[in-house]
Parts: sequence; C-alpha cells; structure tokens
Amino acid sequence: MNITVNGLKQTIDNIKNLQDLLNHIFEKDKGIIVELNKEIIHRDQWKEQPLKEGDNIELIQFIGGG
Amino acid sequence: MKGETPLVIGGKEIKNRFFLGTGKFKSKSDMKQSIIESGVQVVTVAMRRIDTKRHPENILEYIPEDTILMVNTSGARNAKEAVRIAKLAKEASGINWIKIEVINDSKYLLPDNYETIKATETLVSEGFTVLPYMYPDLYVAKELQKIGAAAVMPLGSLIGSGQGLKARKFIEILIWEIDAPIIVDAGIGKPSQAAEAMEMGAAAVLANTAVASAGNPAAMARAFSLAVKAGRMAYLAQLNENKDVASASSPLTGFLYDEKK
Repeated sequence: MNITVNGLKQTIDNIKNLQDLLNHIFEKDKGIIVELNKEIIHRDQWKEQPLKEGDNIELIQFIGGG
Repeated sequence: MKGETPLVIGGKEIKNRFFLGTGKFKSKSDMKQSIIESGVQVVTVAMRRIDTKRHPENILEYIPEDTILMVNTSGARNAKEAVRIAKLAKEASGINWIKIEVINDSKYLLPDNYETIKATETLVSEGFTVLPYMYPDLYVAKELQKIGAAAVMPLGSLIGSGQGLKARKFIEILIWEIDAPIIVDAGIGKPSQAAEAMEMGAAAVLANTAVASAGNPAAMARAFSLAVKAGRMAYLAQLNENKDVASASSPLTGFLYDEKK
C-alpha cells in the first residue's frame, strides 16, 4: 500500500491502522498530533483508524518558537 | 503618577508584562528554568512536522501548567496556512491564543500585513484570541483593532537581530492612537531595549532569541522581566521630556564665593 507521510511517499505492508503505523515509525508516540487527509485524528481513535491506498498523513508536534 | 491598569487579554489578567518565546534554547531545562525564574505568564510555542528519524519530544511537558500558551503560526506564508495552523493547535490541544505570524520573505522575515489582517479576521470570527505580529503601520493596526485583535504586536526590528527599537517612532504612533494593547515583539536584544519599549507605553514586550542565546538564559530571562517592570514603572511615573538644551538639576543662583554686585 502506498501512502504519504510528512510529504514522503512510502510503501507499507502489514500495517492495518494508524496506531500500527506510528508504532512502526516511533518507539514512543508522546506528543504527536496526527492529521489524516487534513483531518485531525485524536489519540483514542488511532487504533480504530484504518489506512488505505493514497492516504496522506501529517505527523506534527509542538516545538519551541518565538 | 498614572495609576496602573491591568493588562487583560482574552479575559485573562496578565500581571507579568514580559512574554517569552521558547525557540532556540540549548536545552528544554534551560527553557523551563527561564520560565520559572522570570515568572513569565505568557509563552509562545510553534508547530512543525515531526522529523520521523528522531524521537518526538513534547515541549509542553516542560512548560509549567499555569502558563498561558500562545501558538504562533510561523511557517505560514499566507492567511490560509495561518488559519490551518491555528485550528490544528486548537483541536489538538485546546490552545485558543494565537500569535498570527505570516511571513513570505526569507531574507528579512518581515510579516505580511495584508495576509495578517485576513487571518485575524477569520480566527476572531471563530472565537480565537488573536494577537497579530505586524509591521508597524497605523492603518493596519487600526484595521486589526476594528476586526477584534486582542492585542497588536509590532516588530521592534528584524526578528532575531537584537537591533532594538529601530521602528520606535512608528510604534509610538500605535501606542498613542490604538486602544488595543501594543506588545513589542521581535528584535529586542537586551533588557534595556525592553525597558525602553515599556517606558514609551508599550503594554508588554515579547523576546526570545536574546534570552535563549544568552550565556545564562534563566538569569537573562529574569533580567528582562525586571527591566519590563522598571520600564512600566517609569512610564506610569511619567518621564520628563527630552530637551535640546541643558537644564541644571541644582539651582543656578546663590553660588559660593560669588561676588555680590
């Protein structure tokens, strides 16, 4: 399945939902904000959120800024 | 002496008129200590894509709980992108205070006043507390006030330049003509410049680089906080006006050894 994560096209296999994807990318998922096709998916919905071909995912966080 | 009037933004009374940005600190603990030791109430944060090759770190965990968080829209090149960042911040964390920062010029990092007005209008209508960062232009400030900006934040000089109040005369005009709080943001390089802005009658000062890049950030944050307090006190005490000729502080009569005529 082909998806885009933070602007990078990726091919992923054996990943059913958003939580699987985050576990695949990060050791810890603290402080992550997820947008799927420009809609925020809240943390408690990650496990239930299936992924499909062509999904566009943005992984965002708060950082220091002035 | 003028009486102190409380600074109220978005329904919250702000006692410490020094606002701190959280960028560029060498460590999160430097940032946390700077917030604690200066007693700042309002701090800014930004939002970015996560570098998926590194561990994500939640900066909010290092900011004391009672701090008022203001998310800047840095990275936005137009009003639409600024609105998107603001909504993302609110949905993700409930943060309602937005510093609109729309920049489309990578050399001088000057704010785009026109796009800033558009973003302010949209976000105010959606219930955000909006503090637009702007280039000090009276007509733009009037418009921002009219459409409901909670404060207007003119730049002192170029972001991160430490040049102080290069735009002093124009900021002064905003202070005289605009009822909304005027918060000087950007270019403030040392506490004396923050004090100068407050002596002029600015409602508050926001600094970041000057604190984060100092040898001892926490001590510098405290120095800024004290300078802002001193400047405010001087403003309320009503400064004597500048003159072009000298004015003796001791009487010019009754000198010792003068010959009586």
